[in-house]
Amino acid sequence: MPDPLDRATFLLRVADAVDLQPAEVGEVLEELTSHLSDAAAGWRAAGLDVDDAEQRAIRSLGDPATLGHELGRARHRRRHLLAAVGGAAFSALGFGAASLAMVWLLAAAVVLCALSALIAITQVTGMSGSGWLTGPSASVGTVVLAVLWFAWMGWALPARVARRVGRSVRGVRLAVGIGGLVAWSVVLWTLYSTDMDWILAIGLPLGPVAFLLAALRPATSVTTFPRTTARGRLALLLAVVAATTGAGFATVQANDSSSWWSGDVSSIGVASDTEPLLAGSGSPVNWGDVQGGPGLFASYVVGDPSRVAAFEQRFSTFRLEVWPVTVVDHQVNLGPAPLAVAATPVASEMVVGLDVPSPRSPVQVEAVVVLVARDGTRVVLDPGGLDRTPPWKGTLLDWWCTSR
Amino acid sequence: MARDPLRTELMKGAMAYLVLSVLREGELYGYQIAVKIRERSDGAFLPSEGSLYPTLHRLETEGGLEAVWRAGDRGPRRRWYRITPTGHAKLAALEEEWAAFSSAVHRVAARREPSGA
Repeated sequence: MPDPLDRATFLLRVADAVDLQPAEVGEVLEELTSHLSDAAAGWRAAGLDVDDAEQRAIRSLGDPATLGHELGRARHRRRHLLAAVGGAAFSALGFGAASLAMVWLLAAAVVLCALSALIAITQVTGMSGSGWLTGPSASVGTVVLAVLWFAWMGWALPARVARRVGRSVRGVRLAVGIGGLVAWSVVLWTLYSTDMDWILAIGLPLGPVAFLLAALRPATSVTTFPRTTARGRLALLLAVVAATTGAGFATVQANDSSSWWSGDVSSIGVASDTEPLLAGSGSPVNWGDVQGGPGLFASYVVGDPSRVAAFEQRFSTFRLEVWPVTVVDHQVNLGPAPLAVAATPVASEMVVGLDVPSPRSPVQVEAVVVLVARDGTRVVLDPGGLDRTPPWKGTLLDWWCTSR
Repeated sequence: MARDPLRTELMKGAMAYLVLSVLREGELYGYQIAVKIRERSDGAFLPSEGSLYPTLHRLETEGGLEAVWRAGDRGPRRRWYRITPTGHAKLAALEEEWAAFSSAVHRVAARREPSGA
């Protein structure tokens, strides 16, 4: 036979088993306390001594864990599954959007300050700062920010969902954690399309895992964003304005000497000034917005109609080629083969275009326009500007499941 | 105190009916409900108070009862329960169901097949 429980232990065990919000748990315990007092008084009036009356009253309520569990279930019946799921989703969306906005505002402020400081450092030290806030370092920053945000959400959300659906934090944490892991994984893997690289492809899936782990050790009460005083808000505003101004000023002052370069394209053809037939007009290689619309095209018009026949007899193909390059000491070296080629037969007017390739690891490229003579000679009409291939864009599923 | 398991199971099934029945006459709090059931049954029903409170809360969440906290003249405040129109309708349905059930039980128990048939 188990040891008799005292009233406090009995009530603690009920509280431990009842899956309700703290305020409701308090009411349940208060009702049971008054019942125990009444029942004990009744048994005392019937002739039992104080201790026996108390034990009789406690035993009449049965097993505390069963009682707590049944009380929780009794109060959950009205809260239908759909309402609970809807409430949880509402909490997640509202709180998620607010905290995401907060995180990105803070990140923007930090980036502005960092940009200002980095440019100042490059000015003083002469170091090259290009790429510090883009490429891999930006991806690392994004992954860190995303994982922290997911962890914060996983830590804070169970208490909000519990309040919304009238359950205890302990009672909802596993459901919130697994629900978040599944929902966020679906979003990240199949819906969220972004500029992707290896760091993001490996780091972003860690976000939902961080959410789950944090949800299993959640905040026990609803957390809110820290409120700052008017003086604190003013200081933050001044810091952002100063950083923005500093970054802008430093950018104006910056003289990035790394941008000039000279190219030697003799390995892929002869220069156009050696070809007497080229009296027409050609557009330079036109890059689209490489970040947004990676289009590339070039055109050529044989200006003198009397030369068209000779031109067509001399040349066979008009080509636009995108070559991978390396730049060492401002000298451009072309790679072994073009990444992309578009070609059209020679005519009096020619236009050729292609989509700029976007390999998983962006490379520096140079686009060139070439006329190929019928004897195989290649005449380089227009060595285009240097640029980087646009970032690979897509979902995690595309990244990991499509051919490389 | 040993309890008859059959009676305990029957009590669980009938608890909502008993609770609504005693509350038909006016507001009561949990302990009073338990006492009233015990007294009216001449001690035949000793409601497990562990199943009384889940039943009260379940009836409340279903809309059959309303509950309100009131401070007592002496001692702690108590949660008083009152039957609602929904509760009255539920009680009527339970009465009908119980009457049909008990009648059927009696008919089965009283029936004797003719011997040698």
